Amino acid sequence: MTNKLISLAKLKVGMSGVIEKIDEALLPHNIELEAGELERRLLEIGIIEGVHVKVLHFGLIKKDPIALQLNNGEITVAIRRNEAEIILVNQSIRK
Amino acid sequence: MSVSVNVSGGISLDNSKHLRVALVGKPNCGKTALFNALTGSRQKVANYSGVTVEKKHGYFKTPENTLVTLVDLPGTYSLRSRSPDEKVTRDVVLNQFKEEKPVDLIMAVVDATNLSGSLRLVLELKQTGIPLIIALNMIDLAKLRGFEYDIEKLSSLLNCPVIPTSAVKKSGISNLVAEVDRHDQLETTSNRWQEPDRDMVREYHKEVHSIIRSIETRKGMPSLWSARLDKLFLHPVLGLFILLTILFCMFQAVFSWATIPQGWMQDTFDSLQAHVAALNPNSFLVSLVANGIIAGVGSVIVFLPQILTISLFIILLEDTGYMARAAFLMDKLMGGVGLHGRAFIPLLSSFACAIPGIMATRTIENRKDRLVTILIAPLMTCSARLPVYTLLISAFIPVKTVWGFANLQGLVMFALFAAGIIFGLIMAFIFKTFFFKGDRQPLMLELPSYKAPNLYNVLLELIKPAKSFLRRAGTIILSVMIIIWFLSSFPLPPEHATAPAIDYSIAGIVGKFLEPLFRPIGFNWQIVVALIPGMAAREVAVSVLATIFALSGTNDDVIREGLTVILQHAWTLPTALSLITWYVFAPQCISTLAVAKRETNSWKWPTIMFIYQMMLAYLMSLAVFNLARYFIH
Repeated sequence: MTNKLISLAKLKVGMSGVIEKIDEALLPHNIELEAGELERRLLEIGIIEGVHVKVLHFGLIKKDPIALQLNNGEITVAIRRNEAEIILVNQSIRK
Repeated sequence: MSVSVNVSGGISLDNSKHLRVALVGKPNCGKTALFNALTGSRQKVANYSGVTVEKKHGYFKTPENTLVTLVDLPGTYSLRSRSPDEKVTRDVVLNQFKEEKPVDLIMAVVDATNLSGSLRLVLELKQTGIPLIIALNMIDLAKLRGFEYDIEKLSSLLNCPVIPTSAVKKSGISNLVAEVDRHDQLETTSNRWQEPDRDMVREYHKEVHSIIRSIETRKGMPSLWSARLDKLFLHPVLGLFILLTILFCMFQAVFSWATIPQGWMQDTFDSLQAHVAALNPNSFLVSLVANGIIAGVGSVIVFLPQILTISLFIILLEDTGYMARAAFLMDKLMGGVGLHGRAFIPLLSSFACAIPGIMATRTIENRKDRLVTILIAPLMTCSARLPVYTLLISAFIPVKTVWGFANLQGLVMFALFAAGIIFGLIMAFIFKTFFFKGDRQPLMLELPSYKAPNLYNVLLELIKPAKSFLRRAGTIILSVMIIIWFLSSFPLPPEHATAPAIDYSIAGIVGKFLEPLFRPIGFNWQIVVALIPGMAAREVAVSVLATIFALSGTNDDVIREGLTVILQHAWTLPTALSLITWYVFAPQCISTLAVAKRETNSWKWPTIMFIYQMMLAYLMSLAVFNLARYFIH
């Protein structure tokens, strides 16, 4: 069965999934970083394939930024909606 | 080096081995607490040459009499550098700093409540070939949350000693120190580190997880309290409300509680000044000491309670983990004008004084974001503007109730604060749009678990801003005050001078020379003269005006009451409004420019800051002066 991947930015508060792919080509608005750098920064802070991610909170304006819980509370991080677009998650895997 | 050791710790270098140890860890791993636990008050803060990153050194002695210089390096997720802070960490660890001696040993701080976040950095550090000791920090907290580790196995997998510690509870510290003595048993290999690309980061992660799987004998629970508190503090509406409440308390503390000790200090300086001045009224030396040094340096030192209060708030917000939440809540709001979420705290500090505010911009990774924040920080209404605002408002704004409830004077005060904020944001937008073009930097913010602040750490951290503030008051501000005293006292007035002495001084001459330039905005030469010493400290302008209007009497209150009445006769309302406006925008503070120079390491930015503030102040005063004249006549 093939699972449909969904962008992390589309998840609502309380929803969760497992990170399957990080694809910089999906970035809606450019950021001032060279290619591959955003991906590397996300990896370094712990946003990496196979990690279980849960959306905890949104900011007030345009639901931005997004607070995420990684691996059931190992770490909590905040990123902006723009960057969350490039993170693809699989919601069907339960962890 | 030996001098500083002796000064800061009373430790002698004689007959002891010397060792340099680098303290490395990711942000929020308890590294600063560990540094404080190891070195106590034997610390020294300086700058690395050529960069504006703080160099924090501390000293301690091992049981075997080795003197250890502990280098506290900025927190980092990886040895590759992104911010100036992280570059320092890499350069020190990889021994790429020419002026710095090589590191003999690395002490890596690992957060026991979050191994996966810390161990990747440890694997990178292993690659450098420098002997490594691991402090498995916050082990008490990890146990409390149910984590259990096979520490021996971790040590053998990483092939280096692992010492469980709790910096806050000061447990395991002696074991850690004893381990430093055994450092020569650790092997040094050649440096194999290279900047990890994304695939290597993934490889590191895999290795970290296989290590964790084999040593984690029991998995703990995340901090339930943090999750609960975040529901409150990160709530889109309630969270902002709580943030505003905290800010309100902070302002309340700075502008009302801190003014009580400030009053005592002012009284002490005033009576000291009066006593010294009474020694010999005709001596220049006495005048220099009394009117130049005591009055001048005193007028700055009285702001110590406010600086301590605001620093205390910031340290507490930082220590508890709330600061990251404030950045989260403010990111989008600040982003509207192109500011980074992290710029919020420096700007907030600037309401006490732009100097700690500008220093607090160090946490902003991106250089452009940091520069914009530094440039607009002086537009936030600092506490030194208050005496000037108070004097002018009480002289020219009638006590009147408007809209049925609001006091007009209070309303004007509020408007002045608001003007600073609004124009600060407008200027940020202009700088970002025209001068610092480029897309936004991403936000990547770790929201650490909440922690109760530790009194010992808070006190140690509180001493630092106090020390640096007093040191500055004793050096830069002292010399500026002596220069200004000189300029306002020489040349001496002629024998039967009718006007006050300052008329004949260099400051007076300069004031009269510059007057035509300021006439369009309604300033007379007395105001221009007051602006010159007001550069050293804004509130000095008040006492200079008093001097210029040749008032007698020593009591400050008498002077101020008298001055209020005199000003009402001497100036028109448009002039007064113009001067108030000037004070909102003008770069009336040399110390701010000096700190901006130090923090940006160039004269370019303080120059730009000076010019834009000058232009803004002139244009706004011009507008206010002419509008006021138009409406009044």
